[in-house]
Amino acid sequence: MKVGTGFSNQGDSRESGRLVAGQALLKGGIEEPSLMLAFCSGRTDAHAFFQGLRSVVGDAVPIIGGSAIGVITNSELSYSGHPCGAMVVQSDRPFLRIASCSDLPESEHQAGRLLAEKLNVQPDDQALLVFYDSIKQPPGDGRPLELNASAPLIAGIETGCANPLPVFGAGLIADYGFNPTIQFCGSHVGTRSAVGAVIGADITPCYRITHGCTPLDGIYHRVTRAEGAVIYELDGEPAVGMINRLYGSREWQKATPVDLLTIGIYQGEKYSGVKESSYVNRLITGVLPESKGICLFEPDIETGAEVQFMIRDSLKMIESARSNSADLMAEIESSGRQALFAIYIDCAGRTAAYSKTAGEEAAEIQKALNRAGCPLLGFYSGVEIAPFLNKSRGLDWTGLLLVMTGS
Amino acid sequence: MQFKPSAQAAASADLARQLEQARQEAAYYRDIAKETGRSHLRNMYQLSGLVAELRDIEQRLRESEGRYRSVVENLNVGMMVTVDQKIVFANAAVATALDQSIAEMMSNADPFGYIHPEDRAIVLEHHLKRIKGEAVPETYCFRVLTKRAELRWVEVTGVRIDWRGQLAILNFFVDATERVRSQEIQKRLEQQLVRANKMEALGAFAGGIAHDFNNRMAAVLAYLSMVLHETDPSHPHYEYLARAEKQIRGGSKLTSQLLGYARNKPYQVKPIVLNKLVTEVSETFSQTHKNIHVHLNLHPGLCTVNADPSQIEQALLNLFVNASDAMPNGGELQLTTRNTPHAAMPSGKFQPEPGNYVELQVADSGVGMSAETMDRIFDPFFTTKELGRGTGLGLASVFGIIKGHSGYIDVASQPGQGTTFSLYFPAIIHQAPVEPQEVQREITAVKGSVLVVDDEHRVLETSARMLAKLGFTVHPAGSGREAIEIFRQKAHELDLVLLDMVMPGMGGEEVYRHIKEMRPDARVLISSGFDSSGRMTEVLNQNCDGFLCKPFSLAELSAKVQELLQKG
Repeated sequence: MKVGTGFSNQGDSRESGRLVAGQALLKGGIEEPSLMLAFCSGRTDAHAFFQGLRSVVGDAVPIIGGSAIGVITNSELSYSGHPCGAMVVQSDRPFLRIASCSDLPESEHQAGRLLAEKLNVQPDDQALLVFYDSIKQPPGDGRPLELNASAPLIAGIETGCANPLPVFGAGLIADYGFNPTIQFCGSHVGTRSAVGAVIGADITPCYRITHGCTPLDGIYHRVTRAEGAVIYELDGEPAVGMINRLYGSREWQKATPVDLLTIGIYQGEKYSGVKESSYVNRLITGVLPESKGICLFEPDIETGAEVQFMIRDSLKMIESARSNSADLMAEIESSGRQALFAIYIDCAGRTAAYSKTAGEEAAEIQKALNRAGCPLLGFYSGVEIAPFLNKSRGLDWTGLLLVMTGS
Repeated sequence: MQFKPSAQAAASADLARQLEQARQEAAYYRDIAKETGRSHLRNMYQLSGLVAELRDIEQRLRESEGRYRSVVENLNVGMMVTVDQKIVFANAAVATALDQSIAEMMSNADPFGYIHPEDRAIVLEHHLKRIKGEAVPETYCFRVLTKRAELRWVEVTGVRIDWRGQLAILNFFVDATERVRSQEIQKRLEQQLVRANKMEALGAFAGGIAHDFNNRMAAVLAYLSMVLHETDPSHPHYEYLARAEKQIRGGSKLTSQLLGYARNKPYQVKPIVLNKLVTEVSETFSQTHKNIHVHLNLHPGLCTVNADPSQIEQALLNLFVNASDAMPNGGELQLTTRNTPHAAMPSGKFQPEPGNYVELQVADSGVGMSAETMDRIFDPFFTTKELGRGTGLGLASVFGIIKGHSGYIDVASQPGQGTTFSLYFPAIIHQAPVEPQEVQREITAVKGSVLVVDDEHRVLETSARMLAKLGFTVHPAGSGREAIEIFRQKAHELDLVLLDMVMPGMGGEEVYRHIKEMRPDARVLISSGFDSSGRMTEVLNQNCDGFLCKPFSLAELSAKVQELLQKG
């Protein structure tokens, strides 16, 4: 298998597509591409970019991916300007089957099920990779942001699969304004879609989830009123007022997503201790008008649930990226498998600009992959999907490092 | 085991107390946790604010650096930083000026290698002095060689700066090639103007001296020719007189040279093809210079030029003599003629009028000359020959003659490489050349009446005597007004007027016009050796009857008179 990556950050979208595809072919020494993964920023004209890619690799090569806030490769990392990136894979044997569906807004569950059915998952398939449109309804005119939920999508996929298999992937966002996104659906550029790929038997995906959140104070709060992705009350009092007291001001409400604070759901036994990897975090994407409630990235916290305030710890975040990537690559090496290529799906809230860190957490991933000589294509997403505590889940403020290995 | 009611109540109360205490402790620790969490969050929030501010400053710094870099990289002024004689920074303008990539410049083992070898030492000296803080010109020019060996001029301004903790020189480069070239052209034009002014001044000076000499020699020659005419060749003094006449004629040639240089000698131009003249003069020259091989490369379709053959002959002989002196042990003399458009002429040295030219090239294989000598060779009295061998008027005369023909002269030479003179004459193509006629030299007696006009009493006297000797009845006039008066009285008696052109008061030109007004068929022979007004050629071109150059002998006077009278 040959793999090459390309990166561009220029305003001419078609030229950008031509450049990244050309670089990828050149770096990988690729003559007959089998698959392309590509991501482009919201400021990029996705159709022109797609044409640029096609002008290099031709019409027969499936292209999957879509919008991203930023792009990461072995040597580049950018979420400003017009970042675009691509990875081209040449394989002697087919290793992926691709399908897409465009009726995501109607029902995430149904879309997931249809997607899985189209993919026709086989018993020896290793995993399913999915990229979907995170934005159901952009915010505007006093209307809150509405997101396509990962939980029903995953549930739909699981329903559609005759054989259960791990699901990896991302909810795509194009910018921090939560504007509409696009998806590269193999043969075309789609919107409001989900594109999936089944990884065949020849490839074994290995992964790590990087974290970086710690409980603020360890206190459990009961959700006393919630609807969809909005929490109105905690412990019987307005959630916004409670958070105001924590910050000591209302300034935090200006940031979207909210700085530092997330909502954590502990998946272990209550009071059994604090284990970072046992928390599922939800970013607070903003505050409802008139401070009526807080909006989360996923609508999966219901009334009656017990949650904790979590604090995003930048040092822990970077350390988590460093240790998890190093451990994973060491594990792959010790297993005797070959790291073919890696995908890093990184929460857009983890960028240095939004985490208020001096360094980039994803730079730790680059270092580990470069040390291993493994081609890397990463991007900044809204939701990361990975098996977590024996179940495929949508995650927030995590980084999913997925390394495809071969024997 | 059963508890007594009192014991049970006591235990219950104790449990309740312990539970309350546990509740209080939980509340206490919850409050602590809350406060710790808040404190942690607020500190983190504050810290993240500071980090955000720092990132913002970094971002602005990056943008500022980006703008600065953009300015530096897009500046059309070259910037180069050198540390320890190594180039540590160069912008695109420098690279473009030197036709190198920035990487090539930075990695060059000899960072001063782009400087012209002749300028390298001084540039390095300035550089080292500037590093030491010694006085050195802030701005200076030097030559550089591009990658393609193209010579360019750059003006550099250097300042001492700190470069990452090291003393460095920041050099600003401006491509000064065009400016230097313009200055060189300006300088050359100024030199040409100075030379032209000098030549004009020297010409006026030389012309004045020549005029005076000429008049005196005219008188002497007239007397001598008359004495010789009346002296029997067997007389013991005849030989001495003949030699004296020869010396006077030699002196006359000298003044002729001076007049040629001064361009005040009137030219008798006519359409000629230079090839014939060049052939004739070169044959004459070859006969007396056997050790010099003359090669002719004459264009068969050479254009005609308007020229005075005697003057061109004079110029050619001067050039040949010059070539001969440059080849004391013999050599090659190449004579070439060709038609040349003005665009092909060396425009850097002069700006020829548009049109076609005939080029006459005289190239010798002699010792050549230095640039300094070349710069002065057309100056009158400048000579490189040993004392007594050269007058320093030969090439000055050539210069004057060519200029007098509205032509141009160029010289190319290097020590040991020979010398090539290129003469350019405006070409005419519509007039057929005129064949030269033989001039009668014998003295023939005539009869008639003649008015002779000259303000120089010696010339007037000798001219009158010679005319009388030829058989004329002579009416002398010492001024223009006197001549008009005499002519008015004797207009119909006079067969001829011998008129000097240069006179104070009423000049020859005005006298000529009055005479022609009174008697249009009057025969007027103009006589002069000098025309300060430069208008004699104009008079001669107005269908004047004839011209006699002073000084003249009795025989020459006789011949010219005969020629006029025969015209009828």
